[in-house]
Amino acid sequence: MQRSVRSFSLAAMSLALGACATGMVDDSADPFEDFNRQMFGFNEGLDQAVLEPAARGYRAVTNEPVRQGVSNFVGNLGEPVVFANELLQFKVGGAAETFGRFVVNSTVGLVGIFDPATSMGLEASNEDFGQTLGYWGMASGPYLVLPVIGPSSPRDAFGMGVDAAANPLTTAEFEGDTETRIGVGILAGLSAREGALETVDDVRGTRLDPYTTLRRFHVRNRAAQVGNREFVPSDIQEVPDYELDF
Amino acid sequence: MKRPEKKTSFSFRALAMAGAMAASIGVAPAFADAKSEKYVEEKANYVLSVLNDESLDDEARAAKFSEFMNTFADFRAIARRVLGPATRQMSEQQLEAYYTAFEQYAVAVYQDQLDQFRGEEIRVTGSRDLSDRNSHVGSMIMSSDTGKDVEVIWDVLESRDGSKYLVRDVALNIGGNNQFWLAVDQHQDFQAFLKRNNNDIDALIKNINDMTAAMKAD
Repeated sequence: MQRSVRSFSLAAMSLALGACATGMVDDSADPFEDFNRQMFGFNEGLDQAVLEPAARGYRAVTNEPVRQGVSNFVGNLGEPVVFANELLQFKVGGAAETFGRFVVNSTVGLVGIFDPATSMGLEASNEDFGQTLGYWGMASGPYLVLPVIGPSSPRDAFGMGVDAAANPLTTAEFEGDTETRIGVGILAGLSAREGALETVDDVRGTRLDPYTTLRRFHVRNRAAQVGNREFVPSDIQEVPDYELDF
Repeated sequence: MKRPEKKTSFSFRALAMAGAMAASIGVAPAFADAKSEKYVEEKANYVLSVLNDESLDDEARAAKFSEFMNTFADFRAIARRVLGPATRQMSEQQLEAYYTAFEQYAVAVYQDQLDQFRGEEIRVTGSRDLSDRNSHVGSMIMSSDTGKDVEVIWDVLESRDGSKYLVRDVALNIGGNNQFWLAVDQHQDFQAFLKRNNNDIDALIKNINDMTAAMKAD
């Protein structure tokens, strides 16, 4: 999903650049927890008031093939950005595959609504500029929850801004370009939120502290996407084994 | 293009499901590795067979699953592991209330996930000894949501007298060596709650019970 986050870019860049050097990933580190929890609460309120009802409405008036088509279409628009990031990470094979996907799905797949590329063996990948910066050795910086956008980090927020700016749809000028961008943004948001309905329900309904669950999952997931697999051991060290023995 | 949110959705469900199966592991003969692998495969697939039993309606399936878990699971050990050292500060009455709340919460969480895992099968892929009585057993489970395999790792402990095995924790591998251990995850969740509520155990128990009631009513 493409979002315009230029307002965050400068601040995020300065923080990200100051957070260089990769190392152990600690999913419990949260120096801005008070701020993050406030933003989490704000996002939860916004979601429950607007985004979730809209996503449920979207699901109610569409069927799965239509939603898959929308998801494919939105995803296809992001392929040039994925392609560029794969090249920046020297993933030439992946870049060639993404290029092939874009060409096939944009033509045979009717502007990306269908996904014949996958059945041809051209698998989708998910690369963004935050991952590229991570590939180059830049640490993510502290965990950050941004309004509307949600879980992120200075590096990833900056990366998101770069991706949005680099997307041809953002920069291209044509008749009705603004309306098109807004429409695509709404579709992308609806599609993403609809796809996450069960996940969010699961977390809200089964976790005492959904904030902590989301933080741990996000931090680890992003680290894994970047390729950093060195995690701070988070075993339950405080409980001696003899208490659990039998 | 696949939607990444679907994959994430499965991850949480798989974690909960794996926990359900971990909790349901019961008695078996001694010796680690090959036997612990067989043990995991048999017990996990029995749980899945219960979930996949078309002859049962939802209520009967949930009841049978719950009965299986209550027969074989050491919920008290799991509950102690999840809460950590805070259990030592609790009164006997609080401890009993916590055990009861945790067991009902765990069963409700797992029952909530039942429908997401029909038609799946666990395949054990190997194991690694951590000590002479403790090993990690690797397995794969097919996601009915995505159609893709997900790696599940089981922390299996043999009893001191060698009479049975117990799965103490279970992890979902979400890529590379990135493993989410269920008890660790719940431990972090509970600790965060206590930290934000002045270590109020009674509030923790109340919230667990409230969440269980909400899940049952849903």
